[in-house]
Amino acid sequence: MRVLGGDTLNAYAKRKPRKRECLLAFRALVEAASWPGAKDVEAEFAKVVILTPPDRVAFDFPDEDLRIEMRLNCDLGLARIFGVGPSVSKKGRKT
Amino acid sequence: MSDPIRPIRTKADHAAALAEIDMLFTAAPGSPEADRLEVLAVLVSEYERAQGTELSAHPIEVLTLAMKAQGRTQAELADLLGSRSRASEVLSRRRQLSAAMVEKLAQAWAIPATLLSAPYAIDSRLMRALKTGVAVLAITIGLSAVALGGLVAWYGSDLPDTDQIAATLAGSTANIPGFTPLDELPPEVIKAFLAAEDEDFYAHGGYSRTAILRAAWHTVLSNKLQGGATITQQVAKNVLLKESPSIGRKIKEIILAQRLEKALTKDRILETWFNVIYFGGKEYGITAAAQRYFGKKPGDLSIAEAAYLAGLPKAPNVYRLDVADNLIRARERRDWVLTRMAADGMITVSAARFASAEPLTTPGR
Repeated sequence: MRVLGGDTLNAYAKRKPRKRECLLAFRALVEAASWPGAKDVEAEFAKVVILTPPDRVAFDFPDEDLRIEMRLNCDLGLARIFGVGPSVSKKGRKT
Repeated sequence: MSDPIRPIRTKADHAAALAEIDMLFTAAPGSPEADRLEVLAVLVSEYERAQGTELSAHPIEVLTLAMKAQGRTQAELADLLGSRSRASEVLSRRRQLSAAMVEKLAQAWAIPATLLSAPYAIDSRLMRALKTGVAVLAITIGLSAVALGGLVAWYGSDLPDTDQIAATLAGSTANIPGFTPLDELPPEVIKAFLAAEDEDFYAHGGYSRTAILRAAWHTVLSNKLQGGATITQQVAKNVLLKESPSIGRKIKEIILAQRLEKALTKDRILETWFNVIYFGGKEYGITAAAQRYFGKKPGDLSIAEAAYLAGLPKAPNVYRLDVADNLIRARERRDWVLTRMAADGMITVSAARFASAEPLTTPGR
C-alpha cells in the first residue's frame, strides 16, 4: 500500500519517542501489504482492526497504547493516515 | 476543468495536495478523478519520503506487532519455531531470526519476509548481565532507602525533639561544678581536642558517613561494636541516652546528633562536650581533668598538656598518667595528637616538636 500522511506518524513519534519502533513497524507492515479489500485488512489485523464503512479503518493496539486511524482505497492501494493517538481500549482507560 | 497538477515543493503544497486527496479519495476506479488521485498520491508519498528520515523497522518489532494484530501467542510461535526457548530468545532479541524461521513466519502467518530479514544486533550476555546488575542495584538502593527511612522513623519516634534537647542540655550543664565556658579555653586546647576526636566537627551535620561506614565495616570484621562517633554523637550519647551499647543505640545516637545540630550552635555543642567528657578515674570535664593531671586551670595548659588530655577520651584508663605502666603509651598518644595538629596546620611542625620534647608528668608523681 502507498502510505499518505506518514508525517502524522513521524510527528507522533517525535512527541512519544517510546512509540517510535512500534510506529515504524506498523508503517512497514502497511507498506508491505496489498489489500484487495477491507476484508483482507480484517483478516491480517483481526485483533486490532475496527472498520467503519465506506473506507475508514482504525487500528487499536492496547498493549502499545496506540491507535492509528486511516482511510483506505484498496483499488488504488492507498492508505491515508489521518490520526495517531493513545489506544481507547487500553485497560483501565475511560472511554 | 481542474487545475493542472503541480510538483510538491513546500509544506503548503503538501497540505493542499492532501486536502485534494481527501476530496478525491472515493473516486470511482477508472474515472479522471481517480487518475488525478493516483498522480497526487505518488507526488505526496515521494515528498513525504524526501522529508522524512528513512529508518527501517526492527524485525522483532514487526513480528511482535503482527503477532498482536493476529492474536498470536508466544506458545504458537514456539510451535512454529520448534522450541519454547527459541521463541523466547527471538522475542527478547537474544537470537537472530534464521532464514528458515523467516520462511516459516512468511508462509504460516503472512508476515512479509523482507521485513523480517533485516540484520539486527542481539543482546549480548555481558549486556544482559549489566542490565540485570543495574536493575538489582537500583532495587537494592530503593529498598535500602525505604528500610533506612523506616528505621529512622521507628527509632526517632520516641526520642526528644529539638526543643526538648535544648532544654535537657541547659539543665544538664547548669549543675556541672567547675563548668568552663568555651571562650575561656585557649585555641590550642580546642585545636588539640578537635585534632584527636573530630577534625571535621565544624563541617559535618552531626555525624560522619565515612566514620559510620568505617565503624560498620570493622564491626562486621571483628564482630564487635565499633565507635566512629563525632563530638555531637558523643554529647547525644553521654547526655541524652542511657542505654548500653547496641546497634539500636547507635541509630538513636545519629538521629539525636542531627537534632542536636539543629537545636544548638556548634560552639554550644563543643562547650557541652568539653564539660561532660570522661577523662578516667572519677574525672568528668576539662576542668576536672586539667586539675587532676596537671594541677592547673584549663586556660593555663601548655600545648603538650592539651595534647595529652585530648588523647585521653579515646581510652582514659589506657592513657591515665596516674598509672605508672601507662606512661610510655600516654607519651605516644600525646605525640600522635601533636603530629595530627601539625598535619592539620593547627600548629607548626617546630611547635609540635618542641611540645613533644616536654616531659610528661603529673604533679603527684
